[in-house]
This record gives sequence, structure tokens and C-alpha cells, in this order.
Amino acid sequence: MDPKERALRLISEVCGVELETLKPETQLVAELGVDSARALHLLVKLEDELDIEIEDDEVAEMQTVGDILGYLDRQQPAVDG
Amino acid sequence: MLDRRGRLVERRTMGEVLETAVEMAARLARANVVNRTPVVVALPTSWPWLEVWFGALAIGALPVAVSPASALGSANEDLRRLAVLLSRLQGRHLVCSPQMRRRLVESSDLPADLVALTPEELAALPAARMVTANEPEPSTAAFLQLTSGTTGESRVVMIPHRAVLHNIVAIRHAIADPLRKEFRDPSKALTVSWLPLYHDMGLVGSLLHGMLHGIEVRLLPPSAFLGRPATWLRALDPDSYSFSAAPNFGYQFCVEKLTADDLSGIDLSDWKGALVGAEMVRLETLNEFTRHFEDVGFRPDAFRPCYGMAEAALAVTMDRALEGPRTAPVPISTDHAGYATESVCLGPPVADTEVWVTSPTGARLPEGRIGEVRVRGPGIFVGYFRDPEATQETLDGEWLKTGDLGFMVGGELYITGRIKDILVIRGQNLMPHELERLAEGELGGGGTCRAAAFAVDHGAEGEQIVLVVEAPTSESESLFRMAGAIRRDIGLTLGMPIADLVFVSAGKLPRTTSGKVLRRRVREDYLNQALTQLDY
Repeated sequence: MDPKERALRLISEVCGVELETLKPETQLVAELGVDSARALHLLVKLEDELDIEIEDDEVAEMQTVGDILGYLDRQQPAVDG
Repeated sequence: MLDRRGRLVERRTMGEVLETAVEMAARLARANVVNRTPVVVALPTSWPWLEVWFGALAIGALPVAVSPASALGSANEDLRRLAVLLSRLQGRHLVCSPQMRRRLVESSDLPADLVALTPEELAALPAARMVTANEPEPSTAAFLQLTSGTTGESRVVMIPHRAVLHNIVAIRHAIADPLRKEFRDPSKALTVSWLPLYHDMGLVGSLLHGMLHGIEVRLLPPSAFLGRPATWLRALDPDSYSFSAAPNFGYQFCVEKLTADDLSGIDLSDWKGALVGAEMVRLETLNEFTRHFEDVGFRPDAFRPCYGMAEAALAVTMDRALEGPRTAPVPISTDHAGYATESVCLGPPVADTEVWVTSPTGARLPEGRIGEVRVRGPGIFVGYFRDPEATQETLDGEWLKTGDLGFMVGGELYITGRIKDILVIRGQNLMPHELERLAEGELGGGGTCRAAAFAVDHGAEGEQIVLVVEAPTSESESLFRMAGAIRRDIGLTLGMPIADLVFVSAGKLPRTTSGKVLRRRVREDYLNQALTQLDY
């Protein structure tokens, strides 16, 4: 499965919301009610399941679903053709 | 210094820590930090944290550590609190990450004259010349410590040099004196802490205590533990005598999160001091932890339940018996309904410290009677920063009024609850945490769901119990069954009806940074109908 798709599934699982409702502009805190414990749980899930390591500086920048997907894009640049 | 995955970032000697602190002191002076003014340190557990905190201390400023807003934008609440604190402190200087500064500026009204600096900007300032050496009086405030404030907003405690130094020595005696001689050698000892450095148990109990006694200190960011709790236990080195402190919650979290698979490579046989304090110590947790980890060498006599608070620099009592958790029956008292059956022994007072259990008028009660715990000794604080009213409420001459209820047996302290949170129902006093424990026990499964109990005035019927419970499910039939079980359980145990039982989604109750549920906030939200209730 595409990492971004897996990430979306994890977000919906951890936050207890339907996958379809997640949009790039969805705010993790304001809309999904992510508190610090849940944020960390999500972070560890993302790292473990996608086998990546997210730098603390990057974590501090992630405020929307799109921020997480954008990060994954930068990790695995799309290959043309 | 270890990272979020428990890997070594960098090791520094005490000499290097001091050298970098002195350099930072000169840089802070360049940035116009002056004697006796607060410097707010909002950094994660890292070397820059130590440089700035000790640097501020070295020039006689008042470092005050606060939560660095972090993970996934979850920090809005932290930012709001920080903005309030900054205006209360009237401090000019804040050291934080560039991200945090940007968000602070975007999200709140900051004091106009605030100077927010990043560690990088400070590092770029010249550190050529050390400023005048600071030789403080023992009674001068060394730093400011925020209280965790379960019942209200946090307060800013002024800790004098005398208090913190005395307490660090007293803690060392309480930990080491009862141990066999071979385990007392600081050069073979190790302190591991994942507690936030803005928490008194992390700062005084772990970092300062280890440094001043020449003990190796391993610091983990709190996220290392909260994300992967095994990281804590792996950092305890079986080649050293390990000492590590955590609130009850930390031990409970390990029991709930760690499976047999997670235990490989963990050896707890040389954990000589598993300090547990900073919140109500629960016998069930300590017993479960022992059962869970005895196969990897954990021994219950490592448990050292303790009692303390920021207003006493930190430690007030610590169990020294090395017999594992001990309990005493909670005395029947007119001040306290007789349902809580046992309380965990928190040991005798630390050196030079007196603990009295007192009546509401301040008179000392005999052993076995429940009353307010008062503390006197060299570790007591000198007041809340720029808050004479709160200081007057809390200090009675030399005595610190803790607001905690407890009793003494054989010169050892047992805590039963908080005065302010008492629910008085039909003339009977109830401890909310007892109600919460019963409710949480009915939720089953994960155990991370919490409850908040409080009283609401129902006019002629007087005060009534309201219970707000985090539910592990939103399915109405399960909720209906759970509600029945909770009401039955509390009715049978306490003979008290619950006027209203409300379910909310897991994780929805506001908590302190150390994980305690903020009952007063839940009560306010309930009264303002601001809770999103689950139907059942």
C-alpha cells in the first residue's frame, strides 16, 4: 500500500474518524481532537508502520493531515514516468 | 542525553555542563538578562535546556522551566497557558524554538516588551567575558518552579538556594542510607529520568539530585517514554545501581502498554530505587507492576513510595523500610467516609523536616487521625512569585499547609486525599479519586480511560455527585451496561447515588502535563454544557 494511504488509515484509526472525512486541510488538534498523548501515539504508529524516523523539528511543523502527507512526499519523491 | 528512541545524543561531564553554563550566562547578559528577573525556558529536554537554565542561574536571574509546545500541533493549550504565564511573570525573556516563537506571535497577545530568543540566536552571541560572579544568599530565590496544579491553575513557586540544596542532600540520605554499603557508591549509581524538566520530580529529584551527588544522569525526553515506554526500562543499566522516579501513572502505563515481546533485553535486577510519588500512590499499580516485571528481575523492595511538592523544594517523606509497598488501614473518621480501606505508606519525613497532621485550626492531631498535612523544615519555599495572597493562604508562619489530607502511623505518613476536592454529600465527606477509581475499574480493557468526580449544587437537595467518564466505546448498549455497573458498584461500596453519569470519548478529559485529570475544568465544562456527551 502507498505510504500516504497507510498514513491516512492510521490517522483515521488513531483519531477514531471515518477515512472519507480526512482532508488535507483537516486540523489535527482543532478538528480531530488530537491531544499530546494521542499525537505521540500517532507519531510512533507512523514511524513503526512506515519504517521511518520523523525528526522532532518536522513533528513541530505538523498541524494538518496535509502536513503529514507532505512530509511523506518529501521522504519518497514521486518518480516520473 | 538520550533521544526519543533512547539512543545516546551526547555525553557531557559535570565540568562541561558548568563551562557551557558560564558561557551561556555571558550570552544571556549580552541579551540584557539581568539579576532577579525571570527567564522562561520553553525548550525540550536537550543540552540547550541545561545551558540556558544553568546559565540563567549563574547570573542570578530566575530560570523558570515550562512545557515546550510540541507534537503535531497539539500545543495550543500549552501556548495559551504560556501566554497567560508570561504576562503574570512580567518576564522579559523567553527562550524557545523558532517554531514555538512563530506560533506564539500568531496565536496570542504577548507582552509588548517580550524578548523571545532561540538557542541558536543565543549561541551566536559572543561569550567573551564572564559577568560578575553571582554569590547568592541562602535565602535568595534560585529559580521558579511551576506547580502541576491538579485543582487549579499552576502557581509559581520561589525556591531559595538553601531549600533546594538541603532537599537534594535530604533526598540522597533518604534513598541511600537504608541501602547496603556497596549500593551507596555514587560512582556506580545511575539515575534515569523521562520526567519533563519543568516538573519538580524531573528537575530536582532527578537532574539536580544526580548532578550534585556525582551520579551519572541519563535524561530521556518525555516523548521517549510516552511513545515507547520500554525505552525507560532499557535505559536502566544492569551494570549500575539504577535509581529512577516516576509518578504512579508511569508504572501503570508500563503495565498497560508493555507485552511480553517488549521485555526482551530488559533487566531490572539492579534497579535499587523505583521512586514513586507526585500523585496518589496506588497499591494495585505497584502490585501489578511487580507481577508484570518480576520475570525480568524487578523486586518489589525497590519501590520507594514518597511524598513531596514544589513548595517543599520536592521531597517531604520517603519510604526507607525496603520491604516493598506497605499499607495501613485508613482510620474511620468523621471527616472522611470509611470506605477507602487501605493507604500506601509514604515513609518518615526526610532529614530536618517535620510533618504534622493537623485539625482545621492547625492543632496537631495524634497518630491515626486524619487531618491536613503540614510541613516545616529547611526545604520550604519562600512564597509564590508576585502572589502575596496565595502565599499567605499557604504558609502559616514556618509551616507549609499542603492542602493534602493524611494520617501518621509509627512516624510514617499516609495520604488519603486533597482537602479542596472533598465532596460533601449528605454531611459525609467523599474523596473524588475513590469514586473515580471505582468507575475506572468498570471500564475494562485498556485502562487508559479516566473519570472525574465532583459535586454540583442541586438546590434543596444539596450537593450531588456527578461523574464524567471516558468511555472506551461509543456504542450505546455497551455504555448503558457500563453505566449500570458503575452505579451499582458505587452504590454498593459507598451507599451513594450518582446524580448524573456522563460519558465522553476517550482522551477528552483535560489533563495536566503529568496526566492528572483536571477535575475543576471538567466541572466547569459540565456546568457550562461544554462537554460532548455520548448518548446511551
